[in-house]
Amino acid sequence: MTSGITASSGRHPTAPVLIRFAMAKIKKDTDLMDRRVYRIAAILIFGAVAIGFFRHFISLFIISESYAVTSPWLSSIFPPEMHGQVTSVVLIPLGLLVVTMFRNVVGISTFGTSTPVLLAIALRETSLIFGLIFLIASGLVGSFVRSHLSRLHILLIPALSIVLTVAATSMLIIVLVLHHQGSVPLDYFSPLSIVVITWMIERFAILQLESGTREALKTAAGTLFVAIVIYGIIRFHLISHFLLLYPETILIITGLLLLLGRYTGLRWTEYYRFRDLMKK
Amino acid sequence: MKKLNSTGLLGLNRRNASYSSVWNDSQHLARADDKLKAKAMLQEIEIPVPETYSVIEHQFEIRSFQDAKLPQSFVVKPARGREGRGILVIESHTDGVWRKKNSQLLSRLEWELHLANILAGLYSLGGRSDRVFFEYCTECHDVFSEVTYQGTPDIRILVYRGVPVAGMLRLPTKESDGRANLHQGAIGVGIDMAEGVSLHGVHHSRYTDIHPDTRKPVKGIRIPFWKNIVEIAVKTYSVFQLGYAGVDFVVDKLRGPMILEVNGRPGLAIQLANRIGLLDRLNAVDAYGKSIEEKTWQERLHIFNELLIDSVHRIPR
Repeated sequence: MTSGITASSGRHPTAPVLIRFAMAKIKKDTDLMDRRVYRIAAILIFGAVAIGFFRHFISLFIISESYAVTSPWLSSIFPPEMHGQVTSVVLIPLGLLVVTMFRNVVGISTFGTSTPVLLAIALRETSLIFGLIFLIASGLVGSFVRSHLSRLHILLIPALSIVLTVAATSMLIIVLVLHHQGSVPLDYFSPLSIVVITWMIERFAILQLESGTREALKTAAGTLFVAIVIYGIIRFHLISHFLLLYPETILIITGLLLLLGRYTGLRWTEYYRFRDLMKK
Repeated sequence: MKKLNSTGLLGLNRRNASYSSVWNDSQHLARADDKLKAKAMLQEIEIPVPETYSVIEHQFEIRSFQDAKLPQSFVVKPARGREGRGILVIESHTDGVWRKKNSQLLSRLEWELHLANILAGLYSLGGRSDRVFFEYCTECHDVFSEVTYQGTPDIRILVYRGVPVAGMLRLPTKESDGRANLHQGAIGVGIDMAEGVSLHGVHHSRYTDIHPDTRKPVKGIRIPFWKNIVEIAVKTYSVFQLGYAGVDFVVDKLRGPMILEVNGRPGLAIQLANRIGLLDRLNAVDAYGKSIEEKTWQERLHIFNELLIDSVHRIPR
């Protein structure tokens, strides 16, 4: 049977027929799957819009004094005293939608899926400039410490813990110095930013070990870029107010994510990666 | 953009949505990921793999490990390592000094640290704790030794639903530090599936026809034991049940073709190396219907040969 390999004696007529048959079958299968996904997505999106409109019109007639938020014509399901804490949470799905677009359609790699969102929320609390100062300063200190630790032949997990300790401490020192200079109010200090930045440094260090510094820097730049885009979107108060008033929007986002889940086209960065194949 | 789609290019999204997630069961993936388990399973049906000398499972075994029992030349590998990370090729060793293939020397401290890091899961999938094993160091076959730089080249066969669809010869470079991984700078060379002869190369996503270090052409290398390699690749499907897998071979100077590992998440660069999109070939296999998996390996090999005659798998040179 192995001797069946013969040099191609011209084109055999069956191949194109077989391929056409297969293509038709595959198309049928994926069409069926797509239709199911579209249906669920449509239910989610239109359902959310319907619920939103329904609540909107109801609220025109019944306005509860205690729950009235910024807009006098609408009531929110969240009591006002909760808004401070809930705002960040309702922004997470929106951020995740942006991350998914960047990762699956554009093809930018990031540390995990939620890291850019959390970083953007942290930036929203600290302001962009101070967030970036924290990130870059602690990242530099961390990598400096790491390069020295590797010379001492310290095992991986203790080394990583030392790096993270130093990074978190250096952020505290920056806050203290800025405070004593009197240039910055302490409002800029947010525990979330320290948590997120520590997490990012850990991911960076691991990726650097696994795939090299170049890959780690590329992913860090991707994470930062996506986080800044999300920050640019969520810093508009209108958006967080809208999400607080209409939490149904989360259903719309879920629907869009479902649609993205069936996107099997090429990512934008793949057009670049396969550019030589394109130039035929 | 239209031009690119017409070449039938497979992107990451489609690979994940329509191929690897559909045909590769996570349980079967885990079996293939553990190289020690995979080797044992392959040996059961008498597929040649590099011999395992010894295994270390716990940290305390490192100190008391008797490396005098090992032959002069051997390879240190993490059982669940990926992309060739954590692999150490030892050329020779005496008491307390290890000499790597690239002539670097390792002290006892560095040696123990490396083993401890492997056990801690530094190089393994998902960072779980791992095992270290020591295996036979394959010797580069003569046909490759002129072209390649250090290291041993390997041959990846992409097997879709038990039928080989594409092949790639991977040549290590100075940059890849002897490793045959394209991400680390090795060269991928497409293979004519009918003859087992190498075609054009790709280096960091760019076309190339010469090896950057040896300056020798990568084209026209006739891979020894090609028919055996294809046959073994077909047989492997019955062992791992991975419908979309890369089977990595090495051709040893003395012992012939051996399987190094089976990769359940093969990359897309094989398209650049063969200068062709994969979709046409994958569709051609799908055209044989739903039950290809249940066929015997002889029947699947027959499908492969039919596809060759149908010129689907052949590359216009």
